[in-house]
Amino acid sequence: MSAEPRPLSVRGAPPEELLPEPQGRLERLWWRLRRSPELAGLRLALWRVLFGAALLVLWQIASGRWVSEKLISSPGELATVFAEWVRSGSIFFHFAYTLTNTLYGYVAGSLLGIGLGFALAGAPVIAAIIEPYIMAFNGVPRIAYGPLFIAWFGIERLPKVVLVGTIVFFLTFVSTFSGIRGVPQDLINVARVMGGRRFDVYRKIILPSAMPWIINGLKVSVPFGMVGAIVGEYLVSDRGLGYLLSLYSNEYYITGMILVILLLMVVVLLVNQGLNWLESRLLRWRAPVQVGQDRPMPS
Amino acid sequence: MPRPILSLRGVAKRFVSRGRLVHALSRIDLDIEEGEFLSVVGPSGCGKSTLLNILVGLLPPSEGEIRYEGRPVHGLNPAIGYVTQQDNLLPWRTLRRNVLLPLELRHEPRGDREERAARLIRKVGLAGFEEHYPHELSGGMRQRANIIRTLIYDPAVILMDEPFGPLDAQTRLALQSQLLALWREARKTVVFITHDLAEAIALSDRVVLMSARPGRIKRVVDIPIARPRDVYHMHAAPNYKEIYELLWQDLREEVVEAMA
Repeated sequence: MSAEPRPLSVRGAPPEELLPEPQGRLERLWWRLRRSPELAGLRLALWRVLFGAALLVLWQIASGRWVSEKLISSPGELATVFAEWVRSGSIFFHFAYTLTNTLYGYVAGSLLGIGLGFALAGAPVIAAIIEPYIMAFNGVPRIAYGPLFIAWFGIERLPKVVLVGTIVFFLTFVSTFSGIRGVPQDLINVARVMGGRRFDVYRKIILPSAMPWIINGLKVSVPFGMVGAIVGEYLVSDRGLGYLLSLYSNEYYITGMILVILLLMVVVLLVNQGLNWLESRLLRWRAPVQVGQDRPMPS
Repeated sequence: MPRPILSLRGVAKRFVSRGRLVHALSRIDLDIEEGEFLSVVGPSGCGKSTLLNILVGLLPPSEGEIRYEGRPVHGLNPAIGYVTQQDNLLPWRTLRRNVLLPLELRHEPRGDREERAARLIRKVGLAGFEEHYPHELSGGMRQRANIIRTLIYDPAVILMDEPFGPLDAQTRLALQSQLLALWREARKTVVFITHDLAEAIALSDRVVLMSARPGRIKRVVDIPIARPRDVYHMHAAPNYKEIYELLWQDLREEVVEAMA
């Protein structure tokens, strides 16, 4: 119970600018790499790569020693097989098939979804009538429609594209619809009082206000759309990544299965990164750190 | 004698809320004269905001009519600007582009748009913040932007719904002073809602006192304090105290009734 003021306890390191910068050339480079705030992104990327590399090393060590190689293959084996696929060109063929199916379905599904979202958001009575039907259709796992689509659309590209399309359609429809319904009425009223006509209110208020939801719908649709394409090929196909997956699982060829899964992971990661970048460009006004010369959204 | 620019004739408003019929306004008759600064004061829930919504045409009256320059108006009146209580700036537009919004919506020629915006922004002390987004501005700055966004398209009448309500006392005074300066220059007709008597007296030519729900006009008081006024020293004006007491007597009864 002493009345002495206690020194404030300080957690962690002092702020960067208070630390002395070391003198030597190499030391300074190292210091910057470790501490400089501008290099935070690079540091994060390095750590991520390191983490992945550590997993691979662990996998390689475990394979054949702790777990049978037949069950988990090994990074070395995967690399060999991958090189072979690249050399023969077969992987590009399958890749292209799956990706183009995804792309066609994605474009068609998202155009329809965003379009219908806009239309129904402006017609609340019709929306209320058909809502349970849409939800019921969407509630059933999409694979259940697979055989129907095959019966209706054959066994070529079309049933896969339709499968992707229905998935993307619902995701973009729901996000567009709720994005538009969520536009604050006050903002709409303000624009109307200012003399804004219907079309201008749509273009300058409703569309930009709903944009974050629409973009989010487009974003989450990508991996789900790919799942649709692969499920479609899994059901019936003679090409594509889904076909490879089903072929190798029938043959119990673990290395092939793992390799296809890894490739899918890489694609989803890359596409996601691209979409994140696009989103941060389009929705700059939301980022609390961006100040100054930012251009607002096109309107 | 200036002629009324806006008149309310027997305006009443009822609506259903949670299954119950609510009488928000009952039989309001009021003439608003061209160029005057009119404040509306009343206990909370007395239908002040409903009154503004009816004046601008966002809500239809249940009874009675609104006349603009003598002619009845139905629907939105494009000659009326509306400064809302919330600033309602578009979060995806910078300050400058928020101020430009009404000119775009009204398809006014590009010509001097930018200069007009820049002039107003400078006048209210927001120069240097043109390219900031609303979330990067303080509450007082956003409200100033909200006000000049209405001034820029030059509506004949401006409605203001407690525009300084959420601001701290010093910022309020500064903005009241700025508003008076802007009004002196533009000579708009202003209908200003507030629950702050001091604010109403400092700014207005007339103060309309409304009763508790259903809102009626209880009293209209002229404020004979000479202009130009200094909002920072209002309490020193000769008859300020009398006016304040007079209004407060009436308002207190209504506030008590509204709380009961």
